[in-house]
Amino acid sequence: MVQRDTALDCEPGVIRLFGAADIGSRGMASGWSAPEEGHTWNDGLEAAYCISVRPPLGRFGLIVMGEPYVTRARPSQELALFGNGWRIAAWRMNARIETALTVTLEPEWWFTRGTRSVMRLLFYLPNSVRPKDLNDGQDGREIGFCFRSICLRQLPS
Amino acid sequence: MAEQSLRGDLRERVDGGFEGWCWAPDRPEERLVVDLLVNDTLAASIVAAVFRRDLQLRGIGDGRHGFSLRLPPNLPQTAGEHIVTARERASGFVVGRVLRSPGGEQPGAARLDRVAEAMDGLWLRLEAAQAARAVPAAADRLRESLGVLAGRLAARHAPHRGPDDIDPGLYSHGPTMRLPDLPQPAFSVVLYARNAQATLRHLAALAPAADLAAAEFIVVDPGCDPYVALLPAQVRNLRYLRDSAADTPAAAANLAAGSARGERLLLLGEPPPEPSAASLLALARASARRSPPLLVGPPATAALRRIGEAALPEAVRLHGRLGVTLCVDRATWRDLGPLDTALHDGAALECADFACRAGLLGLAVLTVGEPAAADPAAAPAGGQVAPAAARRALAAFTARWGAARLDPVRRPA
Repeated sequence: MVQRDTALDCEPGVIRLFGAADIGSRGMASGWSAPEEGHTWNDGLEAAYCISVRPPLGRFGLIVMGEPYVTRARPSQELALFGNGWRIAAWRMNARIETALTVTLEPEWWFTRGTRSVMRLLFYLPNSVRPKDLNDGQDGREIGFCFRSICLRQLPS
Repeated sequence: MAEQSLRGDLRERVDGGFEGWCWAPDRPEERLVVDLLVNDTLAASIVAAVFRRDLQLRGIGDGRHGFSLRLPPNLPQTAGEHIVTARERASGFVVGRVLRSPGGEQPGAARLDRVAEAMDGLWLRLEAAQAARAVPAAADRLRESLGVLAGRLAARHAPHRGPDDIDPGLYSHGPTMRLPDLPQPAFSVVLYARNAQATLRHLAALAPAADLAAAEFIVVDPGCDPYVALLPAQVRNLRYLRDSAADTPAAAANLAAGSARGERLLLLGEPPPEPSAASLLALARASARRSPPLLVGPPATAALRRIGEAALPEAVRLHGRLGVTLCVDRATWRDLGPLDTALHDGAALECADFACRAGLLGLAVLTVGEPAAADPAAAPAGGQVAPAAARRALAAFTARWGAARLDPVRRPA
């Protein structure tokens, strides 16, 4: 499991891409596997991801695109999202298709110091599993969701 | 000036989304941010960091400079005719512009029609070239390319897809699987692809043995699932044939046999969900050791039993399932001709017919033992046939072969 701790500097409106080309390992505090081409998997039950924006803070829409690891042996994936400790939303995904996780981030949830406001997003994936334990290849990582892109959008207050 | 050194492109996809690329040759590693503007109003921004093999091949950095996105729905600016501009954020360099018309026929749809017409023309010329036996290798390549194109277009316009569904043609990050490139394969494994995911799983399961068994893989796409046409983009060195007339495994086998290069043809009827690479290897070794002209799999063996043939000797017992229907020398195939598609009953009767023909010529016909077919009373894989259809097929079979078996023909010199 890879341990890192640097916040990803998010510019509202810009779609950032997980994977080796764009985000790489920036912001990935813990619970992530190595970035691959166009995506990054979680590795473990909890994947912590740090993002930061410049004040002034407003309401933001957070859109995370990706694909759950769903197989016949693991027919659903649950995902709960926490932001700086606040429980923001939860999903249950039953199909292995491109999925958009969309939530609203309230300004009071951010942790502001100096010129940056930081949020530690915790993706809790209790159904993460090692594919090799399901006889689905030799992948020994404990995966649940394949993250492809992340975007913050400024919402009207 | 930095902006003069930027390069890029913007194109509208037939599904209404946009794709393109943006790259600064003087900063080849940098991922640039591209803004998409509708009539000069910012609508979306994205980092151009998607890997595209075509960019890599053209020397556009490491190829990770593509982007692909849709405009947010219900933008007021898109109500009338509008211009969509892609602009690099830092320099303001305009990467590309697209003029779009509201409602009615989108420019993309018109282009699609023209592409379809061009493909029809190419297809006819291809058929003519193949009929004249001209440039077979080029014709094969063209057929593969046309198949991929047709599949991509079909996939994007499949009726069950919603506007926000993932477009598999655009999320491909290069081939996911690589088969060996064999100039003279020993085996040509023919897979009848009615379902893209299942076929991909079968290929993934068998691929580890491809090198050792010296096997090339031919996928025959009857057009049941548009995503099958994307397989050549996902599996390197896969041979792909598309023909809507190949609507049964037998017809698919006949089609594939024409372009197979292997010394032996291996027809897989209804492979199990996880066909075993070890079984493929065992079969390859056994057939190399004993070189029987014809091996029949469990479905054809069961069909032979149904028509009253004596039990055949077993050539090889596989430890895992493979789903073999027939394994035949190409020379034998040439002598015995194609499978009789009129006999198709879903339970390998056409293969039993083929085995009978081989028997009449005095060729050794052996069976392949697979664990799940050990019980002689068990129904053959995929062989749930309506009794009436089975009776009709059996009557046709005996009418055709009943007399001939009394007077065996000799193998042609």
